[in-house]
Amino acid sequence: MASVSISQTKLAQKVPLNWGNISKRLLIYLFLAALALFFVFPFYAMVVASFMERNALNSVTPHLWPNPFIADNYISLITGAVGDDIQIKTTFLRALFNSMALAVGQTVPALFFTSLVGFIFAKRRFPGKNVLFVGVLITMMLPYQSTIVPFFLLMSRLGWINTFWPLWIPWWAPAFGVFLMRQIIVATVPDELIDAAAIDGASLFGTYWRIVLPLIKPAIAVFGILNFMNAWNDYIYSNIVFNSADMYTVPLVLSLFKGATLSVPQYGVMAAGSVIATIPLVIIFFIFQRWLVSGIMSGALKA
Amino acid sequence: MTVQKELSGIRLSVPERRPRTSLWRTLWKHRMEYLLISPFFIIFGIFHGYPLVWSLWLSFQKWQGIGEPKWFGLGNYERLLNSDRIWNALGNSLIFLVIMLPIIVGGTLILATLLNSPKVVGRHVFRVLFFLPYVTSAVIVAIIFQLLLNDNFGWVNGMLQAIGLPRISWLGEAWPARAAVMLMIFWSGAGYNVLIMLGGLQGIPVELYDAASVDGANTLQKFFLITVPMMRGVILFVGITATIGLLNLFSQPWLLFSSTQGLGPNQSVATLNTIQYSTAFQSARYGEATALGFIIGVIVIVSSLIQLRLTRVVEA
Repeated sequence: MASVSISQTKLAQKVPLNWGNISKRLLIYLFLAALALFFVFPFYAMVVASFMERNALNSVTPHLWPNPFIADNYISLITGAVGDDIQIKTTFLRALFNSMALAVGQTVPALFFTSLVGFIFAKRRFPGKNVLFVGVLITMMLPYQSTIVPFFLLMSRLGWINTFWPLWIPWWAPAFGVFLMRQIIVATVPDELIDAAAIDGASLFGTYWRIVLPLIKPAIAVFGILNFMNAWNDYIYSNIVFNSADMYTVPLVLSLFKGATLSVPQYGVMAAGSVIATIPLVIIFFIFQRWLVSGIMSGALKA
Repeated sequence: MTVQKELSGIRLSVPERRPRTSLWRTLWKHRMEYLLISPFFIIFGIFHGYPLVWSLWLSFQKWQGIGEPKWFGLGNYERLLNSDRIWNALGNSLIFLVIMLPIIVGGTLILATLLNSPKVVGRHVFRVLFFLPYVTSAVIVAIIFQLLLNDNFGWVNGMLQAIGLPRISWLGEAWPARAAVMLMIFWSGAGYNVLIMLGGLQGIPVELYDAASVDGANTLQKFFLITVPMMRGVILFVGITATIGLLNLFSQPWLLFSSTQGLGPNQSVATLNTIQYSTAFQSARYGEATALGFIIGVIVIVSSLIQLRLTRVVEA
């Protein structure tokens, strides 16, 4: 708005075209276009490479367009026939299924537990609340490196290596999620509604389920999407608890391709896998774009 | 600032002193609250609290995964602090921090300012384009960047040669390797920070800019005299999260230089995190790895406290 008003006043002063303004705008667009190219080109390379022959990718002069245009990379990925030099016993479809199970099984219970506990912390008083909340805050501040070793040892002792449990159960209780949900409920759910529900004889859980949850749907969506994305893309934890081909997720399979093909890079197949793995996230992103963008943007205001 | 607000929020519910018998009555009165938070806190205690205590204990032990751990005192910490690779890794992190922090904070603020201007047509499209890399898995980002930056077959080198410039050994020499890692960081993280900056910009009252225009301020003056001071809180937030992210650098060097366990040519992109991961999960030196984990934790917490303090000094 502000900038519009300047250009209007300027236009009012001098009716002929304002070349200074136009060249400034042109410069801004050139700058943005260059940046857009920087952000888009790697994706372009990924998509185009997934349709290229191996020879075209392993040549000193890069080919910016696939010629011939082939689907072999996708076919070998789906059928699991990725060439003799790779020891990948799993198929990519299995990895896709694993990633989906991991992400959904982690995110849905996490949303339930964090919003429920966030609600109790935001709206109820009870002995011991402060101690518990400070405990949550402390673990939130420490980086994951401080506990990753005992995390792995605990999973081995529980016999949970090569099961989904290590990437499900601990993440049902994320410190950051409770903190976020508490903040959001404090800011968006009025006390009067909670009190009114209590007067109507609603139980504590009933109040959460029928009053609080519907009011914080946008926050649930944003936290849910971010959590799903992180789980779908997880490498650090999956890599230490999954070591059987049955359990490999998409990031693990792709990193194995990468490691196994150092001498003769199979970039075509890796690119095809990357395209398939990125599609679900891009779809989710476009469906929820408005919520996601405004959710992240409003997060800053609270900080 | 958030922490302060938090603490004052907590104070509201200081438990009242009462005779002992009624404590049980109070607890019983709140049984529904305890019941509803108990699943969360049982999981939290077992999988987040207990590993933290275990971790602290383990960092004073010498243990390689076999047999009984042996008490080692501060041995792990001493050994780490006397090791050249640790100091080299810290130096690398400092290089990444000094170069990337201004680029991330300044660059995303400028980008967000441009995208916030209603004069820029298609700003919603730009927003999406910048954000998409954030959605992409680090493994995939590493694959794409290897495809682009590979010394022999990489597209970037091919293009450099095509316009008559020398080829660069992106993955084979120290500084180009660092540049590659920094390109990856900016590519995958800028969009998220731009969105946060945009959120902050939209909270600035338009009247401020209008008044400045009436007073004849130009675009640059408005940026430095209105935007920057009004955005202090958001800039601090982005600065602290970026610092934490840069000090915790793991995926980018680890995946781009997987053949050297994330060390890169001459250990030029090694970070404490990549060293910790291979110490723990390839060498199984668990005691040393947990000690290193706590060193990382202390560095991260101290540096964000310093930043908080610095801005408070600047604000005062």
